[in-house]
Amino acid sequence: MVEFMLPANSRVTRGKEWPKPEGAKDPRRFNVYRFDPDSGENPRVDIFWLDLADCGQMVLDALNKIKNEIDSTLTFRRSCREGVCGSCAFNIDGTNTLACTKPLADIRGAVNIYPLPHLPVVKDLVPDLSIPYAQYAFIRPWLQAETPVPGGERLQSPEERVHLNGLWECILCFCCQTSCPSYWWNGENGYLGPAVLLQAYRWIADTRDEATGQRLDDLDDPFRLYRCHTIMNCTNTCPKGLNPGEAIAEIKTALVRRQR
Amino acid sequence: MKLEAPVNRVRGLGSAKEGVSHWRSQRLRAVALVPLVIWFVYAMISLVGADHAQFKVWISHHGNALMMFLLIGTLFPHAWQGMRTILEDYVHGEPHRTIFAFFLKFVMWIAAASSAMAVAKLYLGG
Repeated sequence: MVEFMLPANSRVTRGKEWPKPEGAKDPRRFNVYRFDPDSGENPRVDIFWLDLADCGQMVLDALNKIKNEIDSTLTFRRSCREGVCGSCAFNIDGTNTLACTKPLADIRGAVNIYPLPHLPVVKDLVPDLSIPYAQYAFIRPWLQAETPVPGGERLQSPEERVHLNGLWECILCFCCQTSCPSYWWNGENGYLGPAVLLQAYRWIADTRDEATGQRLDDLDDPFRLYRCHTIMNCTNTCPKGLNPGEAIAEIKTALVRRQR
Repeated sequence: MKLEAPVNRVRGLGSAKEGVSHWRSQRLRAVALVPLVIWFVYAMISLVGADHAQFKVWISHHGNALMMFLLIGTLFPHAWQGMRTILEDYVHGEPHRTIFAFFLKFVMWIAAASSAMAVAKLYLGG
């Protein structure tokens, strides 16, 4: 029922402090969450110092510099380094965002870098995303249509295509998903979370998709959809400036509308 | 040890296929409560210092008694729905979730029925 004690290995300890670079013009402290499941030890926060005068301008540049020049065991996901792949999502300076599009200049004082909240940690800054991925697969994120198209292409007018704006841009970084308190408490009990619900609405809003009723049936559930209490952390945190809260409201509106 | 595939965990027991009715009625009741509560607060302030006889005269007016019944019929279900939502959010696992849910509904019925009986008694001249 109510758990008053933290599970084993939850308490984060103070880790190693690496020395400041000598003769640094603009030294900056980085507090980075570390966890090694093989060691059996509690997670720790390691302290690194970088000279920002000798570092790229984004948080990802700093992480790469730490990995390349200070501690090569630091583990984190990254790929495109330009905000389209969604790999380098961390909790940076208290907010979930992409390290590659977060300027170091926006952060005052020490830079705190933690993994996305409330997911099991695989190692250091790498969370286990198997539940969010399964939830994404569950909403069937592909076009379902029965009408045969002789030409092979399903067409949309510009007016029909407008409905997908603000939805197709989602890169599935799961910053919003893991910023949602409702997802923290009930993500493993059925609540699909803002990222997956925005994706579900992306197909509901698509005029070419013919499975809208089935999609709404699957969502009409106290946990899958209605755990959303319009907290709006999702919209505040989205590094792409999207509005999952509005997409969820559109799903709720569609469910009311079909009852007449 | 959990070897169940994540997709199967997400699918669970399937959609409850209800949730929209709870959500919609919770909002409709919330909207209805705005005028009802304003009216109730106004009425109670105007009755400050009144004795039992004056209170009986006030509630014997058809409109006042009707508003009281509407308030009771809206306020208690709204409170129950809100408490139930909090229960679903924070209380995990059976059987305590089901037991709490029944208990909440029981409390709601007791409170609503006794309030309605008190109003009916005064209205009918008790």
